[in-house]
Amino acid sequence: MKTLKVVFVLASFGVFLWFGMSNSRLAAPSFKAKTEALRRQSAPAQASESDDGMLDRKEAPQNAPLAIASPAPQPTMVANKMAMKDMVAGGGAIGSLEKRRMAPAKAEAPGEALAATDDVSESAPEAATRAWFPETFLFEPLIVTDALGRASVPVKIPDRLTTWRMLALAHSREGQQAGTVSSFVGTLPVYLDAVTPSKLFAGDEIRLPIQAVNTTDRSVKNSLALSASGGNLSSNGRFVEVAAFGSTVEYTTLKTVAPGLVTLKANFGSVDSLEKTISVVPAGHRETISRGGTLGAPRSLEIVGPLNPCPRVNRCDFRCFRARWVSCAQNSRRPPIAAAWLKMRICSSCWAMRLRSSKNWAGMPTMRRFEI
Amino acid sequence: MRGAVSPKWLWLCPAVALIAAYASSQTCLSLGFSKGLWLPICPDGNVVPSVALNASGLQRGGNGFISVSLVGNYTLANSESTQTTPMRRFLPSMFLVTPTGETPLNPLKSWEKSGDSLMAQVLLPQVNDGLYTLRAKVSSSLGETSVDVPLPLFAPARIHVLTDRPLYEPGNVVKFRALVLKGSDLSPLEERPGTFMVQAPNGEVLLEEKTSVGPWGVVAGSFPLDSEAQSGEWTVRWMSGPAVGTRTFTVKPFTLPRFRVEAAASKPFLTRGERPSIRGMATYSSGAPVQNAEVEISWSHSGAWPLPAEWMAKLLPKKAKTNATGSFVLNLPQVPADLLGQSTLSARVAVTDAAQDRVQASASVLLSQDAIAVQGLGELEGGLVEGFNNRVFIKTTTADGRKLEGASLNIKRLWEPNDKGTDAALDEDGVAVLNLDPGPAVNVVLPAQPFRAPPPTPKVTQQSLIEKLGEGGNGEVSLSDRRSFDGIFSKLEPCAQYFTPGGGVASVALFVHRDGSLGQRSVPAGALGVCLEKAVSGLRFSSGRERFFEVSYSFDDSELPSFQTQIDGYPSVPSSLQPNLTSALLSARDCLPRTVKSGTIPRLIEWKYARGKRVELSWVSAPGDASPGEGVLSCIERRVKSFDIELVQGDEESFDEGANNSLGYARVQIEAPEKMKAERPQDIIQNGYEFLITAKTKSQTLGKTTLFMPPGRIPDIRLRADKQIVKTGDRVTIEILRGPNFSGELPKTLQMISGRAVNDEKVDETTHRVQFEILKEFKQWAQVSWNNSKVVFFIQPQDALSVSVSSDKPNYRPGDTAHLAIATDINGKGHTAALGLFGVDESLSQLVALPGADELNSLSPQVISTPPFAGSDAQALANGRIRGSNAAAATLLRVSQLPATSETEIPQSVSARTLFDPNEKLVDRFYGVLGELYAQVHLWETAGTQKMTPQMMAGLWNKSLESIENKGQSARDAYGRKLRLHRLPSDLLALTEPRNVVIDATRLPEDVQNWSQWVAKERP
Repeated sequence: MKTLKVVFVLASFGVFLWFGMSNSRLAAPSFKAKTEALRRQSAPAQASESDDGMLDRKEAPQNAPLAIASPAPQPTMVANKMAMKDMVAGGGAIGSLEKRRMAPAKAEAPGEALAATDDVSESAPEAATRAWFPETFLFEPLIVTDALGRASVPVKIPDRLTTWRMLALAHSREGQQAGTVSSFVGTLPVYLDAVTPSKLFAGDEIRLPIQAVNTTDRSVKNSLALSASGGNLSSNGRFVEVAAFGSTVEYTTLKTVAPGLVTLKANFGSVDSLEKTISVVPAGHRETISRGGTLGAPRSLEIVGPLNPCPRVNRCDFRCFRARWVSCAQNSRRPPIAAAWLKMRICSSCWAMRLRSSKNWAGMPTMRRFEI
Repeated sequence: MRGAVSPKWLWLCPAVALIAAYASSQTCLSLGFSKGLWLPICPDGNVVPSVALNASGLQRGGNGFISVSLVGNYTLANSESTQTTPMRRFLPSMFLVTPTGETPLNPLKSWEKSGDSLMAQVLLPQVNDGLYTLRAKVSSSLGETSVDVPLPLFAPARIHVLTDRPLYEPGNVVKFRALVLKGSDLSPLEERPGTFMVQAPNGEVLLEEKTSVGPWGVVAGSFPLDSEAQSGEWTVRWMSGPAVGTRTFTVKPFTLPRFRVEAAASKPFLTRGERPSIRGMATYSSGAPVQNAEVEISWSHSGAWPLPAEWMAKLLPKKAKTNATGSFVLNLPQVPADLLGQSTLSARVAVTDAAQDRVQASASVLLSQDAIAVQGLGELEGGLVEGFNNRVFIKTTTADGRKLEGASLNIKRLWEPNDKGTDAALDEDGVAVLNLDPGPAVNVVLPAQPFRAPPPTPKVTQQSLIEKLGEGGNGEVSLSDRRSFDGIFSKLEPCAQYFTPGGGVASVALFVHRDGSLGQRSVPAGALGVCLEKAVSGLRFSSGRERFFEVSYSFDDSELPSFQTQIDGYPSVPSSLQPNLTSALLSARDCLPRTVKSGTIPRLIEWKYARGKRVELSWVSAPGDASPGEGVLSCIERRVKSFDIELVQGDEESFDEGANNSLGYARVQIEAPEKMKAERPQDIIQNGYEFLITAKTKSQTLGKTTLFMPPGRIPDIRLRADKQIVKTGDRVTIEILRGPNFSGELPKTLQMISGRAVNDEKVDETTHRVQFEILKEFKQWAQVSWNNSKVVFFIQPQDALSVSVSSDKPNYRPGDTAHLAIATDINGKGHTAALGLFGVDESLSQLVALPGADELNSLSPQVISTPPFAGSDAQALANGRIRGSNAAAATLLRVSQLPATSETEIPQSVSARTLFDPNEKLVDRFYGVLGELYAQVHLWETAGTQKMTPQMMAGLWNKSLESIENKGQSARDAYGRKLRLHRLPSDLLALTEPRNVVIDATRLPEDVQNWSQWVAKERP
């Protein structure tokens, strides 16, 4: 029997609890993901806007300077130790982000980069991991050009290999409007692509295609290394040769074990490295317990959950309604540790909500969600 | 003694006293002298002021009127009602309450008396948009009081809301931006308060966030979608006063396509005899080709011209494969010669790559009879008018709508064989204008589209099948025997022709031996029976027991042509000749194709009959309107040569009269099936004019096509301008043209209107012309109208803003930093501007339409028009997409409504009054005292043993009043009177009754005294 004791102060509240039974099927990301989501939600707006809901980012965003308005921070690629070493050594293999930056323009042309990737031995340094795949990479609500009508915006290229489309909508103080669309391509001469579903159920077993594509005029041989955390793969990869201007598809079987996140990593030596995350949800049924009421003073609330819930998939949603005199019980009696954690969350939620809209609070319902 | 009253005046003292006594009986002197308020009876308690405020015509930077009045509220002893009296002496002060404090609004002149009110004119300062408070403070002898009233001050605004992309998954963060512009001139509107609202598909509002517009009229926000957010259409709004900007976005789980498929026809359009093909390419988002991928194609067709049936059935390719470069080619059959007009063949292409990812795309092939396409527009209503100088606009493009560069037109009247045609030049948008008098309208035949027979329907269906020798005699037929019968349907189909039109039912009985061989059979007589016998003889059964089947078939001949005959002869026609000839012709029905047209065949049957012999037929050529073809005719002749007839009694008698034989002729008509007749398109005859349009350059003819225009009507009045696309400072001449039905006087002046700007000019009485100058106050659109006729002008913007965004490289690696260079200029010269920059994965465009460069066009004032030609509406003109003068003139012809006059701030009218509710204070404070009374009574109950009396309770109540006031709380009502028991209304007094307050009933007297009566009497 799971009991939660909650002490908090709110004007009004609603509590919704989801308990996944041991055999429950619950479509919820894992504790880690939710905590990350919570962190992002409660973080300042600038940081929240930067990641666009991508949970698989590997590094904190870096703010790039802008002409007028700061752009949304963009994540950088992960350079592993080998790549870092390589960077220091100034080697010629395609590897870390820094090396890509430092590489001469000539070497960046498809085909010419092949000289460094052809017949790469297994001991070659690994490529930087591509893990940031946003749909939106640029959102600048306001950029102001100078008196000459010029502005410059640096923007980090995401890890997705695609054509990036930019829409610019301009307006002047004199009442004129204009717009334009332009684009550029983010690509690699040789790359990996894993076709993954966005969600799996615990216990699922799927066949994952991993494609290696070569756009150069020379064949590429390298070892394809596969690994997964949060799931089991049938193979760890093998040596693969991709013909010039060709592609090949390797298959591996992924078996999920428990709810959470499966992180699939595919590495093609020094050529490309890819990391994709799949959400695994419980393969059972969901139980929901809802409690609610009005509060005029600190209250204690006990919610009794089902027996043997599936671990790490339970969730508590708090929905706070109009509360003109909401204040968090900063000085209230210290509750037990579990409740204190929850209480702290609730209070910080209310506080964050109040803080965020302290000048503009209009009293509409706002929901916050927590892992239990 | 100095200062002493002279005794001679002492008699005045009683007189003054008498006057004072009289006056005090008529008015409340104490209130009069202290407050200047002369009331007939002194009020019980204080006089409480309340103020009323009325304001009208309040506008920033403008004068508004304010009226303030003050009334005193009081009550009388022994009365529960409130009396009011107007106050005549008071001094109001007006304030505009802003976030920074109170801004005094001083009267422009002074407060003026108007009845019991004071009125003044005030100037409202130029403050930013927002919801303010208008406050009136009034000081009088009754003290100072005030009243507040909300004052919304919002300029008309146009709001554009955009999200970072139109499609999200649950768990994503939606980012949105609102651009707020002034409605009057579309300049940025800054510091305006507003609210972002995000609404889920079920209508629940999940975010309402107040924000103020920042610099350049831009405000942005974000909303994190829950990981289980509802799928569907969400809405984000930015609202400020009456202005609202809305944007919808979709939330649903999705996966971005990994590759893109592009397919297009090898030529923009194809004409008769050409062989179309579609070339496609599949490319990964990275730019790499999708090799050896399976391509599946599904086809659809649109247009009046019917596609040949075999195209869909077998000729159009259904599968293909990409090659090493990711491309594929789909070859289509040759375009038939019967192509009329335009028709579009569409292919839905699905490509599956090696990883079994599937992406779809579409391509279309335009089949066109002519290489060019034309659209015509007459200046007059409806079309062209005979005997009149018609101005006609003709837009000519390639068949697929592209402009014809450097081409000119020749327009030739098709109904006049010797017409050499009129030449006309095309403008930048491919529109030519010419004047012509077409003469009287003629009948124009618009040819019918070719006929394609619909798919045939089954001619034979099994009605019943019974086996009579089976066990139990229930007629059940085994599955294997049913399969045997099912196998002869194709053989039975030819038998349908032996039924007279309408079809029918035929039955067959047959024995089947143990070894499965057929035994005796029974079929209908005649040719039908022969046909059935032939079909049934092909039946094969499995071995088993003896079986006897009865089977009946229903035959449908609705898709078969039939014959009708007209017979004449000498000396007479045997009465059985007609049915027998018709019956004989049934055997020739299969000679006729399904799509044959009705009519008399070009053959005549000469028949001859000699008693006791067969009727002999000979076929000879004869005129006929049906032309089924020689092969069909020879087939019919072979099938029908002679047949037997039996004479009936009437025929015998006619032969007995002398002749041994008779002869004659028969005409044969073909009747096409009704189904085919109904579906066959017919030529259309229309009254109007048909022109042959030839587009040519100096060196070659680009194409020819025909243009049909209907007859039109001359309006009573037309206004024709020498030019309609103008610039500020231009002068335009407008000519008034009268129609034949016009009666009355022409106007002395005409007025040109653009928004709120007006220009009046005199009309020249002799030339009926008027000249206007395009004033600098005129913006974008101007109009001159008179007597249901109008001419519209488009004023070209002098300064057009343009923006460009370029990256320093075309390709980047992941993790690189792209440096985007932004440039904004007006007429090629750099100019400061604000812009929003939104970057998304272009693959999203395969799932949802992405906003384009013309996104902000919706902010411009919208003009309503009917496009004269496709894509040539007035908004396209305003947005600079129409450049040709002829195209612009044609577009302006169809403008039906110009944008509303420029929007300005609407003056506000507000009013408020101080609410005086004595009950609210009374009840509120009574319960405070009542609580204290409970405490006092409780103390009394615990301290002694005596019985409670009304006097005791009244004493405790008064003690409670003092206790409350000692605590610093009020124990007085709204008029400032102590809450003595006799002042309480009956319902509140009842709550203080001893029996309701004392808990221990033994402390109550047994002799109960009525509490309210006691209070009324004793007034404790």
